[in-house]
Amino acid sequence: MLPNHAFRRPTDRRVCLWEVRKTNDGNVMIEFALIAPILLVLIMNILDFSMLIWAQMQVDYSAQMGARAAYTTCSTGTLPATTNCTNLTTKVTTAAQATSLGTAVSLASGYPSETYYCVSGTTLQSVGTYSSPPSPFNCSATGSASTKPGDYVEVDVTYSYAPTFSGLSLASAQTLTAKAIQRLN
Amino acid sequence: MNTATHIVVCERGSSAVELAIILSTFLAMLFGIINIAMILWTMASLHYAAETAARCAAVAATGCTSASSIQSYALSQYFGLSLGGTNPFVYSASGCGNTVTATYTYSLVIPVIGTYSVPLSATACSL
Repeated sequence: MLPNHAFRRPTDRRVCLWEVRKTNDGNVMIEFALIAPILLVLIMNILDFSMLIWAQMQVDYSAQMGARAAYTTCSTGTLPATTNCTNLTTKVTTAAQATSLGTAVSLASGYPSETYYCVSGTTLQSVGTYSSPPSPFNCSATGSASTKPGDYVEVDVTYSYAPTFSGLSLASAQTLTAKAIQRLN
Repeated sequence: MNTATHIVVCERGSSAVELAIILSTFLAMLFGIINIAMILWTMASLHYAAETAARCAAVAATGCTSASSIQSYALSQYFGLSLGGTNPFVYSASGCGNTVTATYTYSLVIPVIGTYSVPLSATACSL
């Protein structure tokens, strides 16, 4: 059977009977009313995921700036920086909290930390930390006793992300972290 | 179309009314999405420019030796929507060392309803 509109003439002006009972008025409206909430929730999720990704980028930038602060402040002085560079933690914290997220970003517990690395083949290998430096102080662990280990500072930051439309959004409240490593010598 | 069929079914004009209601709602949502995207783009561009300028100031590169030149450099690194001829970037040797901030009021124009001010800001620091 053909749809009703296939029979209708453009100039049809006859009076309709039983209009209320038999018409299809409003079907599209109802369909749209069903779709609109789904569409809205979709848009809210897109917004929250966008803000999540943006926050993660700011947290990454925060860690990088913290590591750069460690380099600028401590690389010219005597190492290890943990004991010989008095402003290390203050400078790193100030730099890490200078993004648009501000003081909502905080340094992870135990950071900035100092680690010694040696080149092993084409990768870096950890040979000790500030509290337990390699002894003897060289790269014999990676087969190069004539080389001194590199002094690296690591900055880890955390940030608590909260979605704008919590409850409707798949991007749940979570802690974002970022890590940056910088050689000082 | 015979008379019997016509009496049973009458839909004259209903589609047009439905279209008017749904189209306006749909277009409002569509242009809302477009506006949000433009605001986020402006915000991301402001951040990129501020971060690049702070970096430029930190390494004291040629062209980033004074506050005014750093601010000009920041504006040259802004690739978003037109800012209307003003420079929203401000340099200061505070914070962690070299801070570049941007404050900009985005004018959100919604036809029929009105114009709204959306404050945007970006901060970056490097040393």
